[in-house]
Amino acid sequence: MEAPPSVVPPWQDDATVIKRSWDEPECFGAVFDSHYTEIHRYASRRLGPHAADDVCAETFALAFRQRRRYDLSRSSARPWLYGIATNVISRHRRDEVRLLRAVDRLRPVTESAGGHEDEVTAKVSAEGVKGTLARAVAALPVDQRDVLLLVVLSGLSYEEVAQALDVPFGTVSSRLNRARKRLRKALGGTNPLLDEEEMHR
Amino acid sequence: MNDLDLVRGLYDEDPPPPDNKAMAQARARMLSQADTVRSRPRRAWRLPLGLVAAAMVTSVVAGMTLMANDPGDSRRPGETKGGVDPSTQTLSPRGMMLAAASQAERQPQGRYWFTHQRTGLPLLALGQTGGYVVEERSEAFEWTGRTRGDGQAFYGRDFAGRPQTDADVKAWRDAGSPRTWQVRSSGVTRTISTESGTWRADQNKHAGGAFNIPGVGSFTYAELQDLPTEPEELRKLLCEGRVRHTPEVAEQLGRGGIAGARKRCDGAFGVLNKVFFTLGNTPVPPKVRAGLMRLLTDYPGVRRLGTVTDPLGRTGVALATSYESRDGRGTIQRDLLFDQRTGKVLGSRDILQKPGPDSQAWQVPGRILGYWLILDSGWTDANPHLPD
Repeated sequence: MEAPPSVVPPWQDDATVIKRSWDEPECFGAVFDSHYTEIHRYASRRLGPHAADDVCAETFALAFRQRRRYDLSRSSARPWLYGIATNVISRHRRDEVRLLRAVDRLRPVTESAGGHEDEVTAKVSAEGVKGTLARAVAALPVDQRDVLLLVVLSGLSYEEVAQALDVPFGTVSSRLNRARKRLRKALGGTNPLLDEEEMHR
Repeated sequence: MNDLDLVRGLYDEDPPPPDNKAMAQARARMLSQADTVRSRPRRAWRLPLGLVAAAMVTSVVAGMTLMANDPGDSRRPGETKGGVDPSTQTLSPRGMMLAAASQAERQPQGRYWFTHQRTGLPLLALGQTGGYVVEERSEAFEWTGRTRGDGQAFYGRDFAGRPQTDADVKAWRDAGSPRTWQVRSSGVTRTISTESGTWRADQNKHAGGAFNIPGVGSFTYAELQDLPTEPEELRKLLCEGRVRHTPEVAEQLGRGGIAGARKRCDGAFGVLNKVFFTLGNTPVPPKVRAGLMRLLTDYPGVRRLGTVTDPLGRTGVALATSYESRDGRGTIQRDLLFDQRTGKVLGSRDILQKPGPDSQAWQVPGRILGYWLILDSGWTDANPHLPD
């Protein structure tokens, strides 16, 4: 499985802005302004909008306090911020599991019109299996779920996910593979919409 | 279609955007922690009141005489480098700025745009061989392909530290010229070396073709060419509306789109910083560069300093504004320096005007408290190579 390239262009100035914020704290506001909505969206999807406010406030407060430990050779702060947010979210593990188990309420069926054919197909098939799938995601070990959801929800490359979680690249691949195996097993390996190729990996 | 797509289908495509009030509170909460990361200064570091008053008189001039020369630079601080057009010598500081703006030249375009920058942060050297001020310096070099697909790279390194002023150089020699120094700021103790570190590359690969202005948003090369040129329109671009995502980010963030945070400028200081970020980090065309310089030259709260010399000994024409440090270091003047002949931005520097309750003894009016310099920037057709 080849890692996809990151689809999001760099925020190439984070490193210099963060460096500057070491002794000029207000400078860190630029990092907040650039990334808050994106991190909020990630937290909101995993925990719902209300918890997302708290998670985000905590994430950026932590990031600010840890700004001296930021690796300045990394131009974009996105992996770092996603990593901190993921750690904060892990403290809300029970809420996340509860939301996943009540997934039909989490995502009411109000499909917007339009969209590509693939996406429509994805949604239709997801409607059929989403209860089963949500329970399977809820049952994943936390470290596997974090990798899976960072890959699926953040748009980070595998390399960036490794940075976010501060684990080796190989660990990301192996956790993701284990998570996917469990999900396929939960789906019974019979969903006709899954690629044959994917199924036999 | 695979299992990852199915998992994605479980999650809300477009969750409600963040609540503005919650966002404002989170931002304020974050920044209000400033005191928790700074060590409390010792009382002995506070400045006697009489000395403050005496030293406050001419901060800008003192700021220049306090700078040590870079090794190999024989010019005295403040001395003008040869080659400044004599016809501009008689201009007022405002006239000099506008003349520099009109000089903004079109750079020959190439496939890759690069910038090489250096920051400096003066800190007190600790321990038995310390007691003077040394500069912690770091460098960044990055290049971005003009077209998406041409790539992008970012490198950083620790740059050799050095004693800050001539007096600091003497104190360092008297202490036996140690090759490393212990320093402490923001609650963290660390070591500065007289040797530069090696360049470290950011491993993340990106497609290029996008230029980011912190707190404003991301723009393609083509979009930069179409930015407004009138000062007031540029102010709106920098300070109003919401931070802009590139089409790719917007797509990633959901088809309904999700708005970025509100832009904010917080007065002349905020505008000066945004102008610096724009000029230092993007290849905006000359007419936009000139518009940004005009915006800042006549912005309320901005002072026009005329000719000054930067920490590398380069002569420039400068604009300045003052801000109150949030961490107790007092009133600080931030200068933005431009090359008078090319209109290129040379960098920014902070000079202490009036010490605050947490200023250290060496932080007297006129001291440089930090700088951020653009050493070089421009276009190349070959893949850019790292500076030595």
